Amino acid sequence: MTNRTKGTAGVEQLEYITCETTRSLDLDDELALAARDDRAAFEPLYVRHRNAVYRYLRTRTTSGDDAADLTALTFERAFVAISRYRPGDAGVRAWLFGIARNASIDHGRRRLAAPAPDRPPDHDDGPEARIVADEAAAELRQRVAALPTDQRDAIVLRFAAGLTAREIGAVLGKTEAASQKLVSRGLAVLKEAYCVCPTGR
Amino acid sequence: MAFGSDPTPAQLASIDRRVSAVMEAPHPAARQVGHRRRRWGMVLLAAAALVVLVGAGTSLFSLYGAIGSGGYRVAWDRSTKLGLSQVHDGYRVTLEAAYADAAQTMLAISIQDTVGGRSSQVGFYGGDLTDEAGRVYTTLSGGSTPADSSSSVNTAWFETPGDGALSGNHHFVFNVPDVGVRQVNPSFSILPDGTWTGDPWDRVAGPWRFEFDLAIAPGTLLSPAGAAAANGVTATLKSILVTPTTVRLKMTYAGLPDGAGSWTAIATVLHDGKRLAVGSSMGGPGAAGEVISTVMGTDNASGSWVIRIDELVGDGPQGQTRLAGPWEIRFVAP
Repeated sequence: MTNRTKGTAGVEQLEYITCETTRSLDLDDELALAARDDRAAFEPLYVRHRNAVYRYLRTRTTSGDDAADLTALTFERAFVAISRYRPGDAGVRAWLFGIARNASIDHGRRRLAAPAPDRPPDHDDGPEARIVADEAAAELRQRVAALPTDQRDAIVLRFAAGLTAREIGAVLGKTEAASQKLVSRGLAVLKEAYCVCPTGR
Repeated sequence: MAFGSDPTPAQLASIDRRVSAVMEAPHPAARQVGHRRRRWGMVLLAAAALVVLVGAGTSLFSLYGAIGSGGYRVAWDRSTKLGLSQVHDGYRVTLEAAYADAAQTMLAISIQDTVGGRSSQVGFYGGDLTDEAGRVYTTLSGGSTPADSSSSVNTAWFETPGDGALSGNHHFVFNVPDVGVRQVNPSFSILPDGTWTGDPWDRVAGPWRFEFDLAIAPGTLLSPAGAAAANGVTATLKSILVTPTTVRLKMTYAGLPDGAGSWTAIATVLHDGKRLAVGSSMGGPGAAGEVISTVMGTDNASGSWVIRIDELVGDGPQGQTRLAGPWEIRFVAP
């Protein structure tokens, strides 16, 4: 059905398309390639990944402000370098987090320090629940910080940034299989650290 | 419990400002700060500055030609040059030029402190635009480019009322109630939680009032009613308004999951194979849909159109929800 109003044109053809698809990783590539010629196309790429980049950098910094600063720096560098981006096996996310990782290294923090507790989101659980959440977050950070470097990097990229094993490998310069092993070993260490031992120990 | 927590709203705003400034820098492909996605918050007309260093005595008018491309470029090139000036308290506001089409109206406004030494920056904070019939032109966005500490070039974009049907010659009244003046030694600080105290900007009251005549270029309004379904959601294109500076799509969605207050489409618009970059998305709650606008338009709406939404991103109290598409709508306009 078409409508005609003053100054409108009719529509010759309509096409109704039903698609049942799974998410494609090519969207980021498409946006990145479009951004090489049309800089406005960088914006959706930025919006899609800014929170994940921040989360990753928050685990590598001692304050949210530092993480915000590095997040902005990451995308500033990515925007400048977008014309040189070429689609590869690992994709845009690996490229982006490689920039983020280098930014955090440049910032001078080569090891995860024990950061100040996160400010928890506002909710109605009350001050006691917030203190518990702060302490739990601090403990997790410290345990992750205590992991061997490669395992720590892999865990952070997997759970804070949400990268796949292939993408983690591209960021860390390792194979996909090696990255999966790093994540598995890191989780095993964390599980052991959090093990609730039976009474009488 | 947060492992790698999300940024606070203040941190996110800070990140957005920095990245926006880099994206809007005048070289190599300058682009005027135009529309913004709603989740970026209200546009900071005076604070979203594009830093342009110029020597003393450079004409402010000459700067407008270098600060944008796409739809802004068309608007500036086709604008009616007005050169109307008023001075209050030593602050000269000049309505340099105006452009209007059926979708949007752009005003180019220069601000200059003729006294000097009273600010680190001056900027346009907003104004009211109406026509002879009393129609209100709603502010969409704007941008400010400091020329030096006492002057700036600014553009303000307004939605042309009439849902795309307005055209022809009209008489306008533009009222600027105040301008922004950034303190020479700003008194503000950032707290540990990322919030601000104090405000480095003061307001200097006017008003500066301008009247002028301007022709509104017509647009083409299409209502193909195309729809596509994916992931349990049906996206419907209710209408598409095509003008020389922008293409404005009105979308509605059915079958969206609960929990998100607004939805934004990651969309691509193609006209005869040419990509028209999406610049902004103004979302309504849930199925109320959104208005997607591109940063460039076309003089001729005829031809093939492809609207492809690759992802729908919902914002809600629990964070982001992402729905994978694609939803693709095609039609041919004669």
